Amino acid sequence: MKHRWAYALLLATAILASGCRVPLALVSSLPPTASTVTVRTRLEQPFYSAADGLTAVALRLNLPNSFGPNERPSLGGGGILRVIYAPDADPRYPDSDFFAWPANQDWIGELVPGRIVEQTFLSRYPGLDGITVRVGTYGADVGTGLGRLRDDVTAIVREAPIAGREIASLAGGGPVEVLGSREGWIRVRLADGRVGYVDRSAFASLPEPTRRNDGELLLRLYDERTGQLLREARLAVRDLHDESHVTFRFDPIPDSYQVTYRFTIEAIGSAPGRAITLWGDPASGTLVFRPSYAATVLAEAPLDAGRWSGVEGTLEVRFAPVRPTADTYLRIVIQAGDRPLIVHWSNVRPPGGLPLVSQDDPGIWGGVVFNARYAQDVSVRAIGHGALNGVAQLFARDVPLLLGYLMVLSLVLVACAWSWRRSGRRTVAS
Amino acid sequence: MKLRFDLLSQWRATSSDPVLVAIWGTGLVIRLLFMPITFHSDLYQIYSRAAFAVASGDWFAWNAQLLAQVVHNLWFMLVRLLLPAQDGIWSPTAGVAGIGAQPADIERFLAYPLLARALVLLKLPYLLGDALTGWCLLRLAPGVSRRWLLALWWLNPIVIYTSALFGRHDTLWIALLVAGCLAATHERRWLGFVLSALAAIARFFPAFVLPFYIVSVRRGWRQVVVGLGALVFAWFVVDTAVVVLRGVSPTLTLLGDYPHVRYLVALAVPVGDDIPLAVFPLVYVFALCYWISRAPSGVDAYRAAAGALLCAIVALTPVHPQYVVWALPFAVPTLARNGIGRTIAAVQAGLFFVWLLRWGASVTTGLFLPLGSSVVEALPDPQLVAAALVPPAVWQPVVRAAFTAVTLWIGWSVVEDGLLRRGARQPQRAELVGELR
Repeated sequence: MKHRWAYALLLATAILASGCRVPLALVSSLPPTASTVTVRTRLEQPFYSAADGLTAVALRLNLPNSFGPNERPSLGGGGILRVIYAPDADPRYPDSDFFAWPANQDWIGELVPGRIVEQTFLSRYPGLDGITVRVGTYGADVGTGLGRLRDDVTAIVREAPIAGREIASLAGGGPVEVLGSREGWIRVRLADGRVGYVDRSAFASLPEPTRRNDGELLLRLYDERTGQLLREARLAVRDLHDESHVTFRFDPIPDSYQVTYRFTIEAIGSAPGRAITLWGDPASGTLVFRPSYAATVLAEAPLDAGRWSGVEGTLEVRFAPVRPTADTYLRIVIQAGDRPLIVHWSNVRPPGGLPLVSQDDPGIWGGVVFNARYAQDVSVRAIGHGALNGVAQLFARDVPLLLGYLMVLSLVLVACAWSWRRSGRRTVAS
Repeated sequence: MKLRFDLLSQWRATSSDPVLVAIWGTGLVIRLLFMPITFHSDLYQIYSRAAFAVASGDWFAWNAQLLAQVVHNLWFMLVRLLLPAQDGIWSPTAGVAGIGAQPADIERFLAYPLLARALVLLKLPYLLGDALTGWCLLRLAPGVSRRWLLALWWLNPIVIYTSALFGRHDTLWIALLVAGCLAATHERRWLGFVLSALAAIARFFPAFVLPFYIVSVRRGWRQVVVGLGALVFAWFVVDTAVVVLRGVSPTLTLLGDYPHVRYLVALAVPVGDDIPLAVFPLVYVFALCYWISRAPSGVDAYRAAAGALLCAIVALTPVHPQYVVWALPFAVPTLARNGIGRTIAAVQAGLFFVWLLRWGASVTTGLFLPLGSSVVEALPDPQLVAAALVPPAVWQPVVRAAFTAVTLWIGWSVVEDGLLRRGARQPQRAELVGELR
């Protein structure tokens, strides 16, 4: 009997020591609902995932009370839930805001032949397939002076290129003061002194560029640990736009999760006065860049296959655990099917603090009310080892304390032994 | 001389029982194991304020928990001699209400080379508080199994968690309160009163108990009036002194700025007119009226009232886990009487630890930060584990309700044991004696 217990204990210890899988939730409780958003097309919610092994997503949504005669009764109305990586939402890379050009950052100077810019980084996602940097061409797109708008358009002036807020509109055919360009858009000064951006296609004529750059930019990517050259990518300098983001693309690296890389950028065939520059942060000595990744669908499941929870009012969609998801930004995408979905949102955003993105209702700044569930592997052996190591370090740094502890423990043992011996001679009622 | 003899005989009685020695030894070893490897920012904050007080000489800068802070200041004055190069490890903002210690401060503290020694020394008074309370309890309830009495306090996971893991100073004041009760059993009513009043100045839990003490151990109603007057006067003197020194009233700071006061009225029943009927004040004033009108006397009656009240505070207010220990000291003698009581004590401790999950890593796995952040990060957050298994909307109210029910039941058992059964036991004993004759 004794042996049986000992074996059971040994077996349990071995199982625990080898590791176990622990269920984990993304948040301890669902945030309070502020309102609902009707999803007719698509709704996205990026969030920070601290744990590994994402295995379910539970959305709070309203279910119809009844279905019409021609409607198929279903939980999700044929909708689909998809989980993908969201490296573009990850704020931990130097280029954390596409539109921001902070005053404390600056151009690093002409990238002439012989000058090599070097940068290391930790890749937090698998499928690394490019590096995005910001380039400056010193006015190779357009010079300064007067431009003329096309007659057949009314030009919208935006606060920032591409997706900036509209600040004015200019009647077609008129002259505009051109200051330069950004992201391929023309920077203009309005009559009232404000500066904005106009789509290049709205212009009939523009000031001549101030220079022409030549050569190629060459990016080399190395494994920081081994020093092995992994990828090379080239860009023709003459195709680059002033003050714009440009991505060096290469074949995806599948196992790039939590790997440290180093990349170098150099100019080949350029010369002083015909070279571009890169945007950097002089204070930290880093390049302003962002790695890009091949799109990966981690999980996709029909909402109709979800499980309704009457307690929380959520529809939980389950799938096989997906890895790696620890320390990454993920995005859940809710695609409506044959009927609109009414999804709850809250003023409390999910971990990561990013807002939802709704194609149908773009004005919401809250977050989707949802929770995620993980099946995370926990290595008991590693934790035990770490704890013992921690204890050893604490006491190794303080030998007098260790001696004091040993003395007290010895005294406790002696007191117990002495008391047992003494009780053998005398019977004391307790 | 008599006291010394008492102590000696007590020590002999204890040391000759190997189980009692083993209980003392086990509790000590468990505490010593946890003390250097666990840490909570509450401990760091109070000693940061002590470091500031000692360095600047401004001993009353932190006036909300005046006595508790002064005691920590004094202790820090002594132990800093054993902590070389500790000047830079304390938080400069720990004394600023609303800001407190910042993560960078805590990182500095955790990087201190003699961290283990610092943690042991800073928590040492709490170990002494635990031990003193255990020793007083052994003397307070002579009719109860000493082994179980000591085990239910000294080996109670709630007590060990509060003092050794969390590093809270509450058992220091529990020791004073229990010592006050012990003094009263030895007919030293005023000493008991002073000790209890000191505990009440340090923490608000004993303040609710004090009127019951005065009524229960009175010699006459005149003494009750004098006692209450002394209490109010002492409070007034301390408050006025701090107002003169600092320009701020500790009482008003406590009432105006501290969430603990809000906890007392958190559980309320709506009665219309937007004025909720707070349950705890209702129960408390009702109990006080009963006590004054029925005027039960004797230390046993006081102990019963104190035990039940402290259980009621813990049960009916949303106290944080480090305050649950207040429900134990006067309940332990009752719980130690029989197997059912011991089982209930175990259930209470079990529910307490399940309830801890609700507070997440900050009061559970996060306490092991001295072992290294990698260890803590590798441990799953218990709150998130629980949320993945059962919706919090289900398990949290159920566990809290069960914990409240068990704690209230313990409080009722204490009243039953100290007041109701006491009367029933005495004639039974007399009858038994009569038969023997």
